[in-house]
Amino acid sequence: MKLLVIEDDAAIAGLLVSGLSSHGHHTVTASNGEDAVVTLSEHRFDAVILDRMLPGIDGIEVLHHIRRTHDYPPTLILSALGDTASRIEGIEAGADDYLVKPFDMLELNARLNAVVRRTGRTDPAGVWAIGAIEVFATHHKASRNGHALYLNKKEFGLLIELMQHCDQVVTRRMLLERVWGYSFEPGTNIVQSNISRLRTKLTEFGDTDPIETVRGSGYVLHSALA
Amino acid sequence: MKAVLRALPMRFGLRAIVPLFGLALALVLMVLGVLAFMVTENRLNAQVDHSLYKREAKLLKPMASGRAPTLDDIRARIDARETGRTISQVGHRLIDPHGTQIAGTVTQLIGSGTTAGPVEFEEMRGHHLRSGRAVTVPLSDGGRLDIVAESELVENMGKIVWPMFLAMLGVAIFGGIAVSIALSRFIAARLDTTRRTADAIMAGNLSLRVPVDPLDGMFADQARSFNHMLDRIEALMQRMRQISTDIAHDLRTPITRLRGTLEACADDHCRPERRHALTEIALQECDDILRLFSSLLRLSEIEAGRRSIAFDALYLPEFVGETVEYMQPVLEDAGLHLRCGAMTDASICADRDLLSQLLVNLLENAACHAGARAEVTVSILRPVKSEMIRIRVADSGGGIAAADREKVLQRFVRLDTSRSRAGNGLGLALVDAIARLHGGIVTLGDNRPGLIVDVHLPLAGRRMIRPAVATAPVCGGLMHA
Repeated sequence: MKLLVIEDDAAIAGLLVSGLSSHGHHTVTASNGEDAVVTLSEHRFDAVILDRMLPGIDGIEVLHHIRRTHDYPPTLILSALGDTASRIEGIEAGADDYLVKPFDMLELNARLNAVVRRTGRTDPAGVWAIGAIEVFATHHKASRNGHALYLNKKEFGLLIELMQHCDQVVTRRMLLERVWGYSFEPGTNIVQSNISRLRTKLTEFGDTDPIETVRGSGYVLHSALA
Repeated sequence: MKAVLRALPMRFGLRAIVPLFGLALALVLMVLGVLAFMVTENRLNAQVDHSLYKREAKLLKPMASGRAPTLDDIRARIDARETGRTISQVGHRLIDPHGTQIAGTVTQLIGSGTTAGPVEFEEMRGHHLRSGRAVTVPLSDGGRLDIVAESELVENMGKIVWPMFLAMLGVAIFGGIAVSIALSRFIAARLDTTRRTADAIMAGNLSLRVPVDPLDGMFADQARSFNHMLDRIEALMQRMRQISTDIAHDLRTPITRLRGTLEACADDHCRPERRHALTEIALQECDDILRLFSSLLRLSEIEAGRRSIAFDALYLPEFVGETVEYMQPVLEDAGLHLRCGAMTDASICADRDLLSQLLVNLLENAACHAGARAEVTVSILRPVKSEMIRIRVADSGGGIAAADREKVLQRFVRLDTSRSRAGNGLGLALVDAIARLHGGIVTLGDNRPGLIVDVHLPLAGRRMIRPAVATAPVCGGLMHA
C-alpha cells in the first residue's frame, strides 16, 4: 500500500517507515501539517497515519482537511494521548481508527489493513456467508455447513469481526475494542478464552478450525478453511 | 431593574453600601414621620369641617312652625350664639342680598367656597388675618352665610412639627450610618479570623484551622465549613504524596527486572538464541509496565470523576448474566468454576463500561488468587428495607485475613501471599474507585472459607449516600418490584 506518515518526531517516523516497509508498504513522510497538506494534494495514498500532536497545524485540523477532499483516504490516528476523551475526540473528528503510543508494529499493520478495507465492509444486516459459515446478523443466528451454532453474544460478535476481516490478521486489542468496547485494557485473557470457546463450537461437527492463531499478533479467519 | 439591584453590592463594596443603608433607614423614618403628620392634619381638618357643617345645619334649621328661616331669623340665631361665645371657635358672617353684612363677627374672608376648605379671615376684634377653615352657604333669597372655624391648633402644630422632623432627620441619618458602620465592623471582625487563618495557611501551615469557639451562629457554621474543606485538602495532599511514593516504589520492581533482562542481552557471552528469547522477555516486561501506566491513568480519571459521562439505567440481572457468560471461559481456563447465584431484580444508575471493568476485575482477582478448583459465585442481593443493592463476588479459595482486608483496596498493596502471582496491584483499587464514583462502597468479608467482595451501590432513582462527584447522577426511577 502507499502510505503517508505525518509525524514530527524523526526517530518515531524512521521507525514507522522501516517497520511498514518490512510489511511491504511504500511510505512517504511529512513532519508537519502544512507539508502534509501539500503532499496530499500532489499524490494519492491508500491510507494516512497521523500523529495528533503536530507543530503548526494541529493533527485534528489536518484530519478535517483530509476529509474535505474528494475521495479521501482512510486515516489512522497515532497518539500519545490515550485517555477516553482524546480518543472520542479523534474518532468524532473523522479518524477511522485510533492507536495509542507506544504501539506494536504488527498491531499497526493489522489495523491499517482493516481500515483500508472499510470501503468494502458490509454492514452486518441480513444474511451473509464466508465459505460454509453463514450468519444472520439481525437475528443473531449462525450456522456452519447447515448445522446451527449456538453462540452467546460475545462469541457471535467475535465471529462477525473475524468474518468481516477474513484473511486479515485481527489483533487481540482490535477484538477487545470492537466486541467489548473500551471497557478494559487488554492483558486479560478474555479474548483468548472466548475465541477458544468459539472454535470449539465451530468444530463441533467435525469441521476444521477456520481460525488461525498468529503468534504475537492475533487471529485470522481463513475463508478457504471456512 | 433587578439586574441593577443585584449588581450594586458587587460594584460598590461593603464600605459604600453600609452608609447607604443608614441613609435609606433615615429616609424611611422621615417618610413615616411625614405620613403620620399628614394623616393627623387631615383628621383634624375633618373634625373642624364636621363642626362647620353641624353649625350650618343648626343655623338653617326650619323654624318651629315648619317654614324656612328668613335672613332675620338667621341673624337672630347668630347673635344668640355670638353673645354666648366664649370658647367656641366658630365665627359667622351673614350678608344680605344687597351685599351688606348684617350679622357675625367675621369681617374679612378670603378663599371660601361651598365646600369646607382652608381660608384666611379677620374678625372684628382681631388686627390681622388668621388661618382657618370655612364654608360658604348661598341662601335662597340671594344672601349668603359664611361659617368660619379657626384651625390654630393645626397651624401651631405645623410650626412645631416641621423643625422637629428636621432634627429627627439629622439624628436618623447620623444614627443610621453609625449603626450600619458598627454592624459592618462587627461582621468584619468575625470574618477576620477566617481571613487570618487562610493567610497563615497560604504561608505554608496547612494544619491550621479557624477557631470556632469565639464565633456563633452563621459565622460558626462558616468557620466549620471552611475547616472541613481544609481537612479534605490536607487529606488529598497527603494521599497524593502517598500515591507518588507508592508509584515510584512499585515501578522500581518491573523496571529493575527489565534492566536486568537487557543487561543479560548486552552481555558479550550471551548466545544468539538466548539473546532472542531475552529480547522477547524484555518486550513483555515493557508491555507490563505500559499496562500499569494505563491502569494508573484510568484510576486517576475515575477518581477525578472525569469519566462520569455515560451514566444510564442498568438492569443488573442482564448485565451480570452477560458478564458471567463471557468470563466463564476465562475462569475455566484458569481451573476455576464461575456461576451466577441469586439474581434480585434491580436497576442501578451506572456507567456500563466502568461497571464491566469493576466486575471483570473482581472476577480476575478471584481467578488469580482463589486457587485452582475454587468456586466463584456472583449474586445480586438486596437486604430488606435497604436503599442499596449489593453485587457479591464470593469465592471458595484462601480468603484474606481480617487485618489485611482494609488495605487491600489501596493502590499497589499486594499481600505477601500474592506477591509472586500476576497482577499489578491496581485491580481492587480500580474497583474501589469505580464504586465510589457511583456513590457506593466496597466491603470485604469472610466466606468461610474464601473471600466475599460486596459492592454496595444505590438503586436507580434514589439519592446517593456519598456522592463522589459534585453532580450525583440520578437516572429515571427504574426500581423493579
